[in-house]
Amino acid sequence: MKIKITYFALLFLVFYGCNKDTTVPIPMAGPNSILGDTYPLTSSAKLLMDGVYKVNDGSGLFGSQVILKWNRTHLSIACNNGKYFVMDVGRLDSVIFLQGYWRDGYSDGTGLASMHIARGEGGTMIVSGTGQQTIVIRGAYGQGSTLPDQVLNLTRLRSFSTKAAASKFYILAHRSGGRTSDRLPVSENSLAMIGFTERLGSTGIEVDVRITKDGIPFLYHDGDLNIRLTEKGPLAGPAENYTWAQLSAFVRLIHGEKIPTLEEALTYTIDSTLLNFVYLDMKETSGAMATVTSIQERMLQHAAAKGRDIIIVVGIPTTGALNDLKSVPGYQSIPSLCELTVDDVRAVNSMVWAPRWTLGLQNDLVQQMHDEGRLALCWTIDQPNWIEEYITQGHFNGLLTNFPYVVAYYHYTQQ
Amino acid sequence: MKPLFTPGSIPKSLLPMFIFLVVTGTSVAQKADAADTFDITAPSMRFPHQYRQWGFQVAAGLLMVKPPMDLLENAIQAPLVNIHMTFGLPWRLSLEGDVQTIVVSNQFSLGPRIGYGYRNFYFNAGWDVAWVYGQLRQIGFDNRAKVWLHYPNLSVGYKLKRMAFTLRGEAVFVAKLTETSGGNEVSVSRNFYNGFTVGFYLEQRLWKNHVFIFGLKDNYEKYYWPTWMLFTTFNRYYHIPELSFMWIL
Repeated sequence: MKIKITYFALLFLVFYGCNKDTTVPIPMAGPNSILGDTYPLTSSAKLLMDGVYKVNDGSGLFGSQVILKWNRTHLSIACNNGKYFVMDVGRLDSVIFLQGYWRDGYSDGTGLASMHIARGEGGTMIVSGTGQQTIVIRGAYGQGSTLPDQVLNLTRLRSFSTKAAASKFYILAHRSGGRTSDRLPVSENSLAMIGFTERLGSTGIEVDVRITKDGIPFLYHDGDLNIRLTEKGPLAGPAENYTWAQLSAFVRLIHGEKIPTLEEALTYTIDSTLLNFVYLDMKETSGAMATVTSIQERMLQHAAAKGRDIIIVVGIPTTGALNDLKSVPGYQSIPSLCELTVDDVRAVNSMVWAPRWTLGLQNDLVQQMHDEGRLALCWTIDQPNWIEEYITQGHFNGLLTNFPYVVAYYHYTQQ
Repeated sequence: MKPLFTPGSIPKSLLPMFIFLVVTGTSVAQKADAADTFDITAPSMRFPHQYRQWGFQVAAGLLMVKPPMDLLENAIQAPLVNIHMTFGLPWRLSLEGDVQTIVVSNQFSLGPRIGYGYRNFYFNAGWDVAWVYGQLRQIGFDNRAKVWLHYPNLSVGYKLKRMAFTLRGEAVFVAKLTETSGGNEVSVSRNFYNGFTVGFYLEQRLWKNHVFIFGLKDNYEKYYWPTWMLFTTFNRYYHIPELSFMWIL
């Protein structure tokens, strides 16, 4: 009998113990990277590198064409198949060195990448800002933790088109910039993710807002505290059951970060990033609209004082949230994003209409919104073929996605 | 923004009850009468023996699945209902059918087996073709999925008088996968290797001719059909454990 009990107990343990998800490690160039001896590029030099590039060698993995786009901290390369590069860049004299990693956002593929731009192949032009050279980037990439040993060569084809460069198109990343399930090095809905997401091509973020037992709005997606999003700890059940002091003291996100309050997150976004759109996705926060909108108003004033051109909208995903907003005095002047019908948008004078992408392009309704001075976004679109169609055939002002680098690719390659 | 249904486990509080049932049932079964002529071969269903010609047998039960946390998020959990059928044919052949459902996602499979035995060891090989149909038209969604799959499979088994052990492996190929949302084709994929599964099954007499099947299966797959409504774009293999409790009717 004991043997049988042990037998079934072991099976039980196997069943519940074999589902360990992983994080994809970021390959590092190591302490001997040449970048330690280089100098940073100027802003004008960085702009000269932005553009559409042809992949001469390496197209089997990265496609035949990529875009290079500088963000606040890094040079990002986006492919049309969900792969992207995050590169550190520096110069020595007129030679430009790029070192970093590539990652496949749809799977766990990753590897080191090391490239350079020689003096005569665009380096001099980039550093001096004069002359006409076609930029050629030569280098190699690796797979996993191996050293880069496979050839990767890129040739600049053109600058971004006026349509792509001049239009204010919002590339909104889900969960403050990326999901934990995307196996990024930082946790979703954390300050670290807000600081990280620009490397993925994001220009704005969606964050999930909940309210503590003592009325403090904070960022967290799931309905309960769980090991998908947090480290094992003493608290369990709905996060809203706890006070902010309890959450702050006892809960750490899956990569060790603290859960941020909404105010911390918005302050960080305004002060420390170039993100220009924040969508506050209200998660079961019945009756808390006044609290959230007062923080929103204060943060918009803070942004204005800093000279930051940023949109912060409170989300209206349900009729319950719509009614909550209507209960706030002066609700028609509160910047909001309504996921419901265009009539609901008009009823609360939302700044943004955001239908689910599966409802179609709806170009006529989008145009109506534009004519009324509103923006139109759609959510949450992840398949490359649909991202391409919505960018090339649609009139939306932006897309909410889990794969901002794919949206960036299709947006910046528009002719 | 993703209020979706996925399969999951029944409440964990029920698991000890199942385990208790199996353990106590096993204990009772071992006290069977010495004159008892019971042979597990005849009523077993997962065991790869040659099924009796023109015989038909049905088992029904529940599958409890633990989808990976990458996919699960806030999904509502429900066990899958499973009905398994065997129909004996001449020349060591049999036909096996299987229905699995969580209402919004359903798989129907059918395939032949050919089996051999040597003393207490048995072996069979088969090929199942499955069709999945899923539909979710609640809470503002209008999503559908249709999938054709192939499951070439091998089983080996060893039997005692009242107990049979079966190890079964199958490869999983997706022939065609079509998912639509709001009338838009979200994805169409064809002809890809999707992974494999390895399952262990214990068939145990509880009393008289009543047999219980306990199964533990690891689905190592990229696309796990019951989770179609998540429209995942991940191109990763996941270990998806599946616990089954079935009763041969």
